Formats: sequence, structure tokens, C-alpha cells
Amino acid sequence: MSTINFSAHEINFKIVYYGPGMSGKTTNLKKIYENIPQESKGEMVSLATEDERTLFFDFLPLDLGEVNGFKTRFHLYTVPGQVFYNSSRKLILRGVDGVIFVGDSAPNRLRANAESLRNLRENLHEYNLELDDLPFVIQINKRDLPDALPIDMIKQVLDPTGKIPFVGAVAAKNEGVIEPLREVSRLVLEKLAQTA
Amino acid sequence: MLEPSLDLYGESFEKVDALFEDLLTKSHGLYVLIVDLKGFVIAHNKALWAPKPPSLDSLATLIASNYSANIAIAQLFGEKGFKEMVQQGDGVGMYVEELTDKTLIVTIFDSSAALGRIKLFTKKTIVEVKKVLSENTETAPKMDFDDKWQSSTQSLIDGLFGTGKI
Repeated sequence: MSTINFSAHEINFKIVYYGPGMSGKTTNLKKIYENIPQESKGEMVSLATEDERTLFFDFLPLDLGEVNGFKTRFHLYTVPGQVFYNSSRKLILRGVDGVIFVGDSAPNRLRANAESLRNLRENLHEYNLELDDLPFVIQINKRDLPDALPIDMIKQVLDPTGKIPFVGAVAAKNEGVIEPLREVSRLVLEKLAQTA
Repeated sequence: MLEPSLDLYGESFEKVDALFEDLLTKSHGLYVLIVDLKGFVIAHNKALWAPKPPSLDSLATLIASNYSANIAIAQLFGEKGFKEMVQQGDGVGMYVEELTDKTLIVTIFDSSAALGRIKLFTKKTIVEVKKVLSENTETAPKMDFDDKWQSSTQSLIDGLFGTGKI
């Protein structure tokens, strides 16, 4: 749920990158950090293990600009993808306004994608949230793998109804990184206008 | 839906700001913040003699996450949560206590302040802030998210992330 701070004149939104381990969530955030002008971004914080696997979360604040005297700000988070870090994932989802699911195109990660999506739904239930009610975009990363599964096959597993916006990406090469963020930001603001 | 984590604006905000100044003067703390459990800063104040604080966004996010992680640890032992959190380095320390069920009050101090004094005055401030919040009768200013607002925010998105649609 978006947070308004009347004293600081800010409207704040929380967007979470979710997905299985090693699917490229942190890479997305690093590329966004590289792409966004200095004046529109804050410090990026990463809580990672020695081998650079996300331990708790990555965090990047973005400043969209000011409308009607109120700053609009997005706080981007990633969650740790590894199965055993579920407590951390649950904590990061508190107060989430929008989700970008980063899926992996590798054939041997199809099941991990499905399990991570199921885990996302379960964790949202803990906060009485339904994924279907949240602004939600799926990014299918690593499209440059030689044995990448066809996007349609991955869609069949993650979104059989075909209602969720999908983006193919090669995050490491900065392809398909900004598009899902732009889409989820648009959906988040649209939802606020409808429900406020 | 839009919600403030705390009804803090107008006169209430000014009263809380004055309480924060008083807290920093009496406790010799450096900074005091109210952060919500989602990791956003709700209010903050800095002592006149304190250096520029680090990024408040990063600070609030890390404090809220740390606090939530501590609750999860407490729950492993059958506790509802830990009532307060103290962290002390060689030069700087931090005292965190729950203000409401959604917000925390955080006092950051250096070696010139005694932890006992920080705790005492932070606890007193919590009581006073709660009183201000309970006496607050102002309603939140109305926000209008009309077509003009939507079109302006869309322009900002286009400006920052480029145009286009999936």
C-alpha cells in the first residue's frame, strides 16, 4: 500500500523484484542504477554474501519528480532467491505496491520459476494480499542462452491466462531492464488514482 | 490505496519536531527519526552540532529490515518481539524502540552521549509523541489524483524511463 508523508510532501511506493535464485534480480537493479541519472537516484544498498549472492535484499531509491508539490518516489528491492531464505523474502514483501517477477529462460529452471511464483503468492497471503490485485509484470531473463526455452512455453507455466505483461530480457546486457520497471510504475500510479 | 503510516502533519508534526529537538538537546543524541516498518522515513531531526547524516533512505530501510528480522528471531523463541534494540560501535550507537505497531523511533548517538541517558529521554519522548498523536483531531489533507495528476506522473515516467508500452 502506497505511503504518503504529508510533512515531507512525498508519496512513496515499494516495488519488489522477485524470482528464483540466480535469475538476475540484482543484475536488474545494478543496470537500473547505471541507467538512471545521478539526480534521480539514491545510494544502492546490497546485503550480499561473500560470493555476491543476495543474503537479505538489495535496495535502490528512485525519485520520479514532483507533481502538485508532492515528490513521487519508488523504492526498489530485490529478495534473495535461494529457497532457504524465505523468512527474508516474506519481510521484504511488507507494504509492497508492485512486483516484477524475474524468471529464468534455462530449461532446468522452469520448475524453479513455477515454485518461486507459488512462493510469492503464499508469502503475499501472509499480508492478506493477492497477486492478482497487485500491479505485476513478468520479465523472462537470459533470453541469450543457447538453449533458452521459448517464451510461450514459459508463459504457459507462469501465466496461462495470458493477462500479465511479459518482457523478454538479457539483463546482463541491459536489454529489457527498463521496460518492466516502466510498466509496473505506470500500473502502480494507475492503481493509486483508481483507489485513493 | 494511499495511507500515511502515522497521522503526522500540520500542528502535530510541529509539536513532534519540537519534542525531537528537546530530546536531542537533553540526551546529547545526534539524530532522531521516525521510520515505518516498510522502510520509509516519516520524520527526522538532527542536532545542531551533528555532521550531515548518511542517506536517510538507506538508514530507514536497513533499520526497518533489521527490526523485522529481530522480531522473526524473537518469534523463534516464542516471544512476540524484542521490546527495544540497541547497537553500539566504537564511535556511534543506535537505540530503536517501537512507537506504534507500524512505526519505530530511532535515536542515533556518538560516544559523547551515555546510552542510559539516550534510553531515558527517548522513552520519555515516545510517551509525549503518543500523546500528541492521540490528541490530533486534524484530518489528513485531501489529495486529488485527477486526470491532470495522472498525466503529469505519466510524463515523469516517460522522462525517467523513456516512452513506450509493453
